[in-house]
Amino acid sequence: MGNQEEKEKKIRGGIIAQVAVLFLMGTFVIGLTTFFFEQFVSEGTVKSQLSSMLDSIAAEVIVTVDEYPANEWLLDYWYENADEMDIEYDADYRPGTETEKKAAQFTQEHPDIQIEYATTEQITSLSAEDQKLYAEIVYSWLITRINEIKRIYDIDFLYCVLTDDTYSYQYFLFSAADEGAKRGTEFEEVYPIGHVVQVDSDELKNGMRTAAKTDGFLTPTGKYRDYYKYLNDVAGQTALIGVSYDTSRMMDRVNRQTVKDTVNVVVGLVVLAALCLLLLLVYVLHPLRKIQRNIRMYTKNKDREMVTSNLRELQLVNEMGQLSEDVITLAEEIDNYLEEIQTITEEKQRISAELSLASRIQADMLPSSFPPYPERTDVNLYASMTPAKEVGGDYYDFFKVDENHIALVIADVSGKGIPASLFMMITKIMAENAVTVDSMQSPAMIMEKLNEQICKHNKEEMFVTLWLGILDLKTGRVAASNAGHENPILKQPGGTFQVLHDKHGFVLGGMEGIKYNEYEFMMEPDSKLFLYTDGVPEATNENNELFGMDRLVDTLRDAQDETPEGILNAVNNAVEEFTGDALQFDDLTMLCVHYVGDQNS
Amino acid sequence: MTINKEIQDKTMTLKLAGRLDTTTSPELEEELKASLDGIEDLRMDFSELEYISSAGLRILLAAQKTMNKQGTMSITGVNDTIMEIFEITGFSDILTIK
Repeated sequence: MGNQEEKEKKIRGGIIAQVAVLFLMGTFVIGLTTFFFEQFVSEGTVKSQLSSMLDSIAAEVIVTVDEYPANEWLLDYWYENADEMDIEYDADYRPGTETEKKAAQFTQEHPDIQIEYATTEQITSLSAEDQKLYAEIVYSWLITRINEIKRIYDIDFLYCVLTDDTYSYQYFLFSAADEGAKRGTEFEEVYPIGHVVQVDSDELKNGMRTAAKTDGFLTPTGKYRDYYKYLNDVAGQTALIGVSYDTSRMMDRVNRQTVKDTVNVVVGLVVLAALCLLLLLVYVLHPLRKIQRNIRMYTKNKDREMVTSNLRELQLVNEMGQLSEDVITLAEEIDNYLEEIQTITEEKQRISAELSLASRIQADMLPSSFPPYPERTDVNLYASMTPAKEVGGDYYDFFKVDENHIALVIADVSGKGIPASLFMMITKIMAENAVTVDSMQSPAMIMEKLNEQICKHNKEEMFVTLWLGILDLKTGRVAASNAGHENPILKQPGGTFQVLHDKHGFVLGGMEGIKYNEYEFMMEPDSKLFLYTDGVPEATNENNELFGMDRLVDTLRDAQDETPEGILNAVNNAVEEFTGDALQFDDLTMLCVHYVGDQNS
Repeated sequence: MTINKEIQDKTMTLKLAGRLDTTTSPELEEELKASLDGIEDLRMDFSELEYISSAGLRILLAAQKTMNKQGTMSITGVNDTIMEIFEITGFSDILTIK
């Protein structure tokens, strides 16, 4: 049992592990595919998001500029007087700055003018000195405001450039800077007003043109992505708002987006996989184990009723339900089969018992106490019958006809088994009756009578070969008749065993009205007569060779000085040695008479 | 054992090969039972038959009895072993052996 449980655990782990490994591999492949696909998609997404963000930043700057009613004048003024203006870049509304002082001074001198809402008419009516003061104040305030926009949106550069139709230069009008950032003319420094950068890149020129003519434009490459949006025309040039965003920062966003999307997909898949495994466990493995447990229970104790009610109680659905119904049907079949086998086995045992009983009855019918006439010294005999099946059709017989005569019979019924044994019993009784009814009959007459009697009750067309001899114990004379049986083998004193080729009649029971011959021969004192059925010479070995008459006669000659029992044993041993393990089909029946004769005479 | 059967008109020839014993004789019995009707000349060729047991003799006897009523039966090609069996059992007296 321990082994079985171990095996079961291993197998169950197997199914879950196999499916889990498959899911994991699938998740890995899908995750990888998703990553590359998302990378491609999110670059587009991020670009478009960035583009619209930068556009709204630029729009906000434009609104900031446009809020000043005098914005056009201001832009022109800043451009025209860039060199003369005294600019404070980092005023940042702080108290005590130059710009605050300038604003206070301006308000004091022109209390009717609000700086934020001053119109172009109001400003142009002022003195050149005050115009400059105003332009400086607003420029400083504008820088403060776009600094704030840059800080809020966390972009790298925010500025306004002027360019012409060739787009071959950028004139920086104003730029935002972080607090404390250095203003200078080096790359990546925040350019001051009036700084001019040459534009060589066609990409950039194209971007600026697009922005100027139609709509905002994001440059596709470079260390920074620049977004340009049209602001206004200034002194015959075009003013554009530029917003720059570090490409590597953009790519970081792309990657973050990619990783986020990929993680979402993978997590989704893992959750789905876990759910599938759970369902597999609940709907397949769990019921399967229950069914398995019941099958084992049935294997162990063959209790079908319990297994059936157990399985029905589970109320399994889907294929598992079908499987459990199949198991119930199988158990029913097995039960029926077992019952059938039991019946057959009982029947077989009964038949076998009856057969062995029949075999004993048959054996008991034959004279079996040896020596049969212990008081007689003039004759000794021994006989044996070894059936091939439980019962056979051979038999031997001997009985006293009168005080001085012994009848010797050896016979072989055609066929085998119970039919032959029944026929043999009838023949034996009829033969004994036919002989003993009148001691004066000749063997031929006995045979003819016996044949008629057997034929009368023989619808099955069985027949029997039979040798009958009547030995006169006083003289050793044998009167015999042979109905189709094997030749007797005789040893006279001083000689060896020799086959007696006697006159043969037809088998008994074969045909009505057959006439039989009879003959006589003398057994001198110390003669031995050997009678047998065809099972002896026709015993077959594994090579399909027959034992044969020659081997039989040789064996008899080798044992010719033995007692009848010794001679029969010798023949039995010789036949057994010859046949080896080959299955024997015929009975082995023998009878040997030793006529000692009257020792006193 | 193998049985080769040829029927021409009212003559049937059965050619037997192998051993005709307890296990194989039912086969011959079936064959005769099935096709002996209306046959007037039954010829049995034993030239390839090796051995015959008492069960086989019983079939021959039944066939001989049937043929006694409706025609003739003859056996050819009998080997020495089988001839000896026929002689011992007296079958040689009732069978037509050529």
